[in-house]
Amino acid sequence: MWWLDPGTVLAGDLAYNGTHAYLADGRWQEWRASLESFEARLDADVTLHVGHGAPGTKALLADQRHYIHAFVAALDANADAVTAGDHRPVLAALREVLPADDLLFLLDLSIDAVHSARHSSWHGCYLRTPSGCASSQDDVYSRRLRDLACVRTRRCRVRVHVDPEKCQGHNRCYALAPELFDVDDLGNAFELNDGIVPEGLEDKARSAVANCPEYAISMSE
Amino acid sequence: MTTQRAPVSDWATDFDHTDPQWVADPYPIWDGLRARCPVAHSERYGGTWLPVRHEDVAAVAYDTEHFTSRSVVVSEVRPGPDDLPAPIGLAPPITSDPPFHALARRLLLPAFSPKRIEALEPFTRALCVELLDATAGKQQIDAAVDYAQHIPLRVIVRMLGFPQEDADVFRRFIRMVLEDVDQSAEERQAVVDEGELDVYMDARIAEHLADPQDDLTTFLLNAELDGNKLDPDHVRGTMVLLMIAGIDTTWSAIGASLWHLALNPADRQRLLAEPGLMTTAVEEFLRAYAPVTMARLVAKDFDLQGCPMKEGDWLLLPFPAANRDPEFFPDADKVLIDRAENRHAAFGLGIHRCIGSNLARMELRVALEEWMKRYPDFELADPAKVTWSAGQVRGPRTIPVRIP
Repeated sequence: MWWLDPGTVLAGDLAYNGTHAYLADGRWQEWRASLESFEARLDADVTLHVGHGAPGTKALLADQRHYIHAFVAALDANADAVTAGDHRPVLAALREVLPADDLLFLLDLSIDAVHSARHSSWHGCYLRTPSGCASSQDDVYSRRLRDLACVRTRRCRVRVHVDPEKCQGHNRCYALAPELFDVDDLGNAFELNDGIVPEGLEDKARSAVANCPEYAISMSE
Repeated sequence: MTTQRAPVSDWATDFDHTDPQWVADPYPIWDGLRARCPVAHSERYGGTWLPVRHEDVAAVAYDTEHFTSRSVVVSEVRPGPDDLPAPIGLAPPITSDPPFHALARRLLLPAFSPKRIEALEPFTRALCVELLDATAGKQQIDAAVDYAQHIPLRVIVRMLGFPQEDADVFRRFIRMVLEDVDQSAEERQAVVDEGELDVYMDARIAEHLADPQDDLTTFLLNAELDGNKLDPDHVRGTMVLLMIAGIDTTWSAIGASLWHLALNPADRQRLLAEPGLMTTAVEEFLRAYAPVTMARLVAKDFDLQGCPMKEGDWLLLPFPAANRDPEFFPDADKVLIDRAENRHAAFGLGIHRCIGSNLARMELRVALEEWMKRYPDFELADPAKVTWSAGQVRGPRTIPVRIP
């Protein structure tokens, strides 16, 4: 977010104006929270310059929130169709909310991603952290503190590191230990949480090291 | 149509990867070579090398200076230095060398990242259930023909946005490109020259240009390299590659895994009792029955383990043999579905790591989970009726199984 002056804000992708939206990163809850927070903070007569579509008023934020809500509701109402690979009911529901085809492909891309996230074992997870599923932003902070305390008291002595020069994206580490590794959009792996391995996950760390075909993961104990 | 080739006289000096003995069971051949001649040579196909130890296979895979990927399928038709547009190659990025390779690959990687592939799992699972539903009530089914072959085919067709009815067209193309390599140069050239594949792909490209869709084909047509849309040859080559590489290979892996489970009731029972073992079991099936052998052309004269390789020689890169090297894997010849340390090379090593590995792994896992859920107990109806594909992709093409 950039404030040119108190009444003019460059809002990036916080809201779209008149186009469908990309939700495939799965962070729609955080997006909704950001919208609420800016609705509370911005002046009533502010002008928002958005990344997709024409500039608009603060009402864009509420519209975007309703859109996200409608998307999740449509996904849940049509879960069986989506599981069978049929996106049409969800797309039709969102066209009712926003009667336009602009960027509809972004919405289509988001359907399977958010649907499978909502029906995986991480359902209800606010954020994946090294020590498991955090249920809220507060929970993320408390887990972070616990991990740091763990390092200070030297109970967590194991750390892992992925050498980006050697990693070729086999994703064995991410498959074996998603608590410790994540992958970027190109499939390259990186360690989570500065590589700190929480107590109890040492075996998973060793397993990730022992299964990397490129010898890209190192571990220090 | 297939040319009768002379039987192999000596595997160290006259090997042929299309020989019936290799096709039926290549593992004893590689074991024998590892002991007496770990880099074999053959005058066939105009001169071909064959390393069988993990160390040597890895060394070649990492050496893009002395070995080019310009052609990755050994056949009687050997490309000359000017035959294929360098450095792109016929089917980028698999046939590309550095530095172009990284650009072409980077373009495709986002479409195959684990998170994008996770999104295809519900479709894949529903497809497996549908295929199994169609076998209901039968006492004997073919695990390859009725099940395995349809799964990767229909998933890639969905990704590319092609009509699902074209499945049979694709099967024929794949056979022509990958499995008829033992035909003479004239026979193969005749098939390739018809240009049927190009005509088909060009028609699909034209449709997508006129009416863009939310699929991989439109994604490729819109993709840009250095601010320019891709060359049409590049788009078509990549689509051909995705179609061919995405189907035959995973079909083979699913089929070989089901073949193993049909023969090994103890592993079936263990997977039923401990479903959590599926993760390591999938990797072990990929190691033990890795379908894909790649190939390189020698780009610059090179000495590998005392073997003088000359520019223009073929080299087979048998990842399945590397995966069975007892110096690299303890109990390499045993299938251990709980193998904890498994740095297998089923998806290759180095910069050409199979871009679809996440897709293949997901399809294999889902296919086995759904099969085991439906048919926890099954056995080969007639082991002698199981047939294996010839060429560089190895997998069972017919697996008649009896459902008790």
